[in-house]
Amino acid sequence: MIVFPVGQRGKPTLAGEVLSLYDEGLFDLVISQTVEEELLGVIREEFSDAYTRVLTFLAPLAPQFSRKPTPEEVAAAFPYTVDPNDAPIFAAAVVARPDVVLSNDFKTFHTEKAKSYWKRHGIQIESLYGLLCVFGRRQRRPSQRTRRN
Amino acid sequence: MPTNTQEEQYKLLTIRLVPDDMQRLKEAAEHIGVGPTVLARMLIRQGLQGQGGKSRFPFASLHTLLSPLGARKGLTDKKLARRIKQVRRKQWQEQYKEPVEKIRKGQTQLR
Repeated sequence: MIVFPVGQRGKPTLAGEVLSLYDEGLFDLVISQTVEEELLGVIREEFSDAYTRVLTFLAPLAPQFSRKPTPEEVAAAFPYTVDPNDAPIFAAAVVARPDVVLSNDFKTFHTEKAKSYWKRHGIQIESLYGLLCVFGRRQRRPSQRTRRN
Repeated sequence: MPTNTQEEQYKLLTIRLVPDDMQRLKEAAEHIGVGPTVLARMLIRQGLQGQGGKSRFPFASLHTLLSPLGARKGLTDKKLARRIKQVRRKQWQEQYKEPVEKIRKGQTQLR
């Protein structure tokens, strides 16, 4: 989402449109230390030259990141995941107590098992397209509407 | 005798913090690998820059930093998703796998 807000033909991607909504102040973000660590891990591997710059950039924001989940919280998320590697991210999302979890990873975050986890914790799961629907920028597709009812 | 010119650029400010704030500052500083004084200085600077409202995560700046690098590297959504999975697997194995398996084993035995 951070790296690809614009498509190859210069048109904003769905991620780009969601970023615009964020810039307009229509929603706020809660970022977990777990996600921050993941981001830094990716930067270290893919953009090692920029690692220190990103670290310095993120440093002042550290107090606003939500805490990492405990092993107990991760164990509670475990049965709802397809891949155990994702359990810490699931648990981190619940710890952050957001209204909506935003992810375009359908195989991980939008499965029936995962949906029951979000529902259990009173969290709505949305894709980038889904979030644009929430703000009236897109129309729900008929299949999505049926599934929600 | 040589003087430390970097030290001379700073003015000294002593501030009193309640123990809870001090603890949180230390933890946040440790998490990002800097000293509490350095983090306190960064926070003060950020606070002075962003007066008049809660600071929001500066996505635009992060994008400005990362986007050209991604383009130069020919990084695609798919490649990035693969890398995220690798990093996530490493986090799981290093931080959670063992304690979580222990907890789950305990739960199974209780049933």
